[in-house]
Amino acid sequence: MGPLDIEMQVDRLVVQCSLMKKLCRRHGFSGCVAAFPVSRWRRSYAYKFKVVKERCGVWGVRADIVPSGERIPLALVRKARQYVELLSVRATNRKVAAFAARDRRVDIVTLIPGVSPPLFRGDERYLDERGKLAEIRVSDIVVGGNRLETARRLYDARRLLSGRSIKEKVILSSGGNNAYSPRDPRDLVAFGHLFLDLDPAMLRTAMSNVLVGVVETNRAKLAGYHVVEGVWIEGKEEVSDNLEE
Amino acid sequence: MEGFGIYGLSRTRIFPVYKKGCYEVVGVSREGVEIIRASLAIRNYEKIVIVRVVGTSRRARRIVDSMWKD
Repeated sequence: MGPLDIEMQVDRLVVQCSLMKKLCRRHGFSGCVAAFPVSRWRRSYAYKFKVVKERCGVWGVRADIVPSGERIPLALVRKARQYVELLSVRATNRKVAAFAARDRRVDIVTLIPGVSPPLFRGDERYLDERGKLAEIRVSDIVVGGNRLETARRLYDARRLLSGRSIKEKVILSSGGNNAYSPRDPRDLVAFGHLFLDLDPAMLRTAMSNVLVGVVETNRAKLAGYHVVEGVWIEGKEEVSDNLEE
Repeated sequence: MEGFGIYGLSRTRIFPVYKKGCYEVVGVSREGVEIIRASLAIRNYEKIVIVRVVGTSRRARRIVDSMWKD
């Protein structure tokens, strides 16, 4: 997953997404989800999401909700959910973190070292029960040329992951801001193991099987095969076949 | 080696073995492979990709020769 700028023109967006997909495949990813930071909603976003899905050959689209101020981004989540396969919310403060962990429409809670508060045990329980993932971005930790700041953020990241069960639900992403940002998944696993004391096997499972499961479920929901939790309509296999490419 | 410094460099014991075109074979200690990988994950500038990790330099040379076509 690589973050791209949704404000770009459609043609440029398609070129960037295609390039990102090519790089992802070169790095060993079997699929790619185009991620777009969304801080406010515009009507053109729905069209852009649709174009990216149809023309770039990506698995799906992810909306990375960036809350502004103290407000809970309820409207943004509601509007973005109907177009995207993955929806993540950046936990910028306690209220937003609690909302992101609790709300069923959110798939990924993005934790920002130095900004996000540590999740409570109840929040971790929500993550477990609702099959959500917590994400940490490498670009939030590493500050080029400033080792002291990097060490501080590493400490914060370890503190965020000090909960009992959250370590099983963590995924790492590069978090760059262009199409060249994807990193080799094995590199990210090594980073998590050495710097954040995460179990490589758990990290690998969360970044592959669990994430694919979430995308698959959401694709089925968007296609109308997954009505409510526990109820699937026949024909689900078609969605799975598309995901395998 | 931004994240590990001189200590990390000493643990990896990295040295060049063979070069052909844009491919290069480097030797590292076994415990250093993960350090090299983690260093590549946090880089911002270079575009270096690990193609394969193998046990012998002979095997590595053969892979490079098969990938590089004049």
